Amino acid sequence: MSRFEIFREAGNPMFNNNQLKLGIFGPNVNNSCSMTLAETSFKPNFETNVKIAKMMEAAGYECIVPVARWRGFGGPSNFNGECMETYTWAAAMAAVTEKIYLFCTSHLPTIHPIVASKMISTIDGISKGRIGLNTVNGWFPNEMGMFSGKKLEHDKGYEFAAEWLDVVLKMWSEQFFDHKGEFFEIKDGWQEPKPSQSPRPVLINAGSSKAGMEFAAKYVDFHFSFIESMEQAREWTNRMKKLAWEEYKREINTFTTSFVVCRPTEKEAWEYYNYYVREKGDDEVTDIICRLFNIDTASQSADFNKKFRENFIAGWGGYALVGTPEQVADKLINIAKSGVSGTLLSFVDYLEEMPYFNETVLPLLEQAGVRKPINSTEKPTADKMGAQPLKSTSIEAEVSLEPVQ
Amino acid sequence: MDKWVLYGKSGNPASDIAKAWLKNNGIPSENYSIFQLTREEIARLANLLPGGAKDLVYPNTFSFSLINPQKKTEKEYIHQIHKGELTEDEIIGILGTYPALVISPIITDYKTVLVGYNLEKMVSTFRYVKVKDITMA
Amino acid sequence: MSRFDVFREAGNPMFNDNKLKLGIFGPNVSNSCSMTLANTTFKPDFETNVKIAKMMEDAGYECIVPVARWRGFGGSSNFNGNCMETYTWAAAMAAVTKKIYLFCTSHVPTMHPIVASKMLSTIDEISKGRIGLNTVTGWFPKEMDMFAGKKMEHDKGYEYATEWMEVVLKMWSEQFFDYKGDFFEIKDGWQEPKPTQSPRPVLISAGTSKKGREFSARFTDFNFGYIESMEHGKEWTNYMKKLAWDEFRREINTFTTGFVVCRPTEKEAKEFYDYYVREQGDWEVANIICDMFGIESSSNSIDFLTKARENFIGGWGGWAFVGTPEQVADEMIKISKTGISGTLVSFLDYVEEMPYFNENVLPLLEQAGVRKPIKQEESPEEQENTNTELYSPVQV
Repeated sequence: MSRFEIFREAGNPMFNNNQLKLGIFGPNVNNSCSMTLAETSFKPNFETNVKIAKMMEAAGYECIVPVARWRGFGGPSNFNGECMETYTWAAAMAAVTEKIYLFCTSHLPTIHPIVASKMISTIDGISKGRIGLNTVNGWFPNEMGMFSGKKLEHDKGYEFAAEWLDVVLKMWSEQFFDHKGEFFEIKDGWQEPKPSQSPRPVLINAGSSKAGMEFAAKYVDFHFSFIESMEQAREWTNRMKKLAWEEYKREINTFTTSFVVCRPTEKEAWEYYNYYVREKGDDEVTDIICRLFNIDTASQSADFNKKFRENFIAGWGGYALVGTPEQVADKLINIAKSGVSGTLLSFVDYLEEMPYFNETVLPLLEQAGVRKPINSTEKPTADKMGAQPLKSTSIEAEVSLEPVQ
Repeated sequence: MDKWVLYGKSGNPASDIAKAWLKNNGIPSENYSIFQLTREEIARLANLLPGGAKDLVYPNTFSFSLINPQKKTEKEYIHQIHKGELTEDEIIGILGTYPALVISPIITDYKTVLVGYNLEKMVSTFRYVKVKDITMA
Repeated sequence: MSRFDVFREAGNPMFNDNKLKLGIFGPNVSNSCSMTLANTTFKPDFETNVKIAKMMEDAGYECIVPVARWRGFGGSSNFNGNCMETYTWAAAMAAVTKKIYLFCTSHVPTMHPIVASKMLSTIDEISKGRIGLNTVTGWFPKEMDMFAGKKMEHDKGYEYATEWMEVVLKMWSEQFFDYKGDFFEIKDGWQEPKPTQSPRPVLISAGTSKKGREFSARFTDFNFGYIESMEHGKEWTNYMKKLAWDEFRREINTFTTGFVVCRPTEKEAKEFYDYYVREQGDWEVANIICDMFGIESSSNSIDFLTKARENFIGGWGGWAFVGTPEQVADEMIKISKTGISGTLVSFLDYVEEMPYFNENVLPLLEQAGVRKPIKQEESPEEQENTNTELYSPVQV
């Protein structure tokens, strides 16, 4: 059985029948994905996050990916500055949800792999197998600077990440092992419990450099990235699948992220877009982030720059889903057709805007066949995953008793 | 992943303690009664031991009787087996019929076999043990 | 207003009116505090922990202190091997409880102080101010060896812990700060949110060495320790209070730990003690642990050694509360008279044994005036909170 088949068999939501999987991105950080000073009821606190998650479970979403942030990006919004740490966030969310798959987003240089593996095993126990790991190397210098000298060169960063993940995978699957590498030395590694999930927690990563894509191809189950067009989405997905298969004989999927402004009329949608992006957008933080991403504004056309910046303000550079329910659904269906497995969504105001999306867009996706109505996808997840607390490997055979004594 | 099997007797302290050790050290095992050992399995196990099948057997009637106070028939074979007059096949045959003669617990992945509870041996055997299948393909 | 006044004013359970505060120790680790192979329904899983916590909240306990463990101690019980990591444990517990104060127990060498402070701030938000921190420097070599080279000499360990704690306190109270020490260099430290609690999360530690007590006196609110006698409990408490005041102009309290075997008759209690300690005790692991603590056979009488080992098996070396409800209550009242603020308790089987204790011992403590009945203790604010049934614990 292939790795993906094991995930499917285990009823993992990230591998269910829905051709287009849906999740959300960054409900744990202030402003979530929008660099704006527009008014919103959204708060990156636990109460709000629980409300959002309940809505998502009722509508059949697959996952939530939090953002790991140790300080804000600056600007008047101090975008993403106030936030919940993702391991503890996931543990608490796991305690009050039932179906949705959760991720921890971890800056690898900030945490020892033994600590990380133990935390994830603990959350696995709490969630009954609904926790995955999103690895991040740390690319925001002001943030990594706080951890003094922990910021590694780019390629070195991926060597570190590979060794870090090797240790985590051993902690999840072996007992009494030694490890000696460039960055870690583990004497007699041991951990209990191991994650109950089969085969292990889902691994995801969003590295877009060559080293990043190599890392993803070698280790993870989903490669996350931004898409510019359906053509580019298809090309990227094919390239990743080919890379993973040819270099490492592994399967891999892709997953993207988008922002949603969905209104009854196109006019209303663009009016709101205009308000929160063009009128209330935090230009200062956008400048900072464009600089960090090395976006050379001089060498590009004014139109390109404007669009690029607007996409960042609107939803962290994600794909724009702006328009009527039909228009938004059409775009989502196109994403599914490109071979991308799904998309994370962001809203300026989850609690206010998500219900309309769920009521109007999701039925269209079901009609188009890219998602199944909630009841038909529900069956495998809850039951199957709860049914294997101690892993099928520890079979305390009933026959171990003597026949007569 | 390494799959470990423990053959034991309920109420036998050595079996219970080995079972507890495995469980509490996070090493999954399938646990069976020693009475479920078949002739074929005994042959496989004997093959893995330097002294063959007799290594599986209680060294003397005293140690056997401590564990199996009421088993008189089996007891008679112990002396015979250790005297060295029986062929390997004959011993395996006897053990197949009377698995009570086999020291408990037996812990094996059919590559290594541990006879009886021996903490040091367990510690050294379970270095680098793979307990969960993380298919990386 | 003194620091303790601020805690009291804020309604922190660790500073409520109960003269004898009660909590439990180590529900997140296999075997909790008893080194035994005795039968028990206890499991160190989330479901069991939630059940226990609900029982405690109903009975008015103050806190839960988890044990941080990265591997077992050995022996056939592999005591404490299977366990839940304490930051994630506390976060999840915070999500499904309402009143009880929770602690993270953190081996400071295993974790960067920025990560720790951020995790605690997150749990503070989830729990609405019910999280504290128990710092441990790491004394179990096999465990710290996994983190290769992280085990430090004892005194060095406390220098490290001092810096670690300074960074955490800054993260909780300053923005845009620099810090440069022997172990940490923080450039432009910043964090949001800060903990909502006033003045900050409760800090506790259990160091018993000179350095350990100094660290406790300098930073923490409660020094945890074992007591050998009521006399010793009184001396230790006075010593700590004097040390904290003389050296650092700070207030400090003490807190101890004990194990409970409470039955209708003394005979039943002793019989059960015999069963799980003497008959089913994991003496192998007790020896390993006694050796580590330097309880040596050469310098001590056999009686002393047996008693020390039995106490470890019975409940991690804690005070023995073995007997009828009256006997157990008497011992607890005596403890509160020494000036110690409270005790953690452990049970072999929390879910099975705690209800009897709660029904029979707690009323006696209330009669004696060392605890208030639960109804009066609830502040109006908390009662309001209980009505907002926002999250339903799904796993219970």
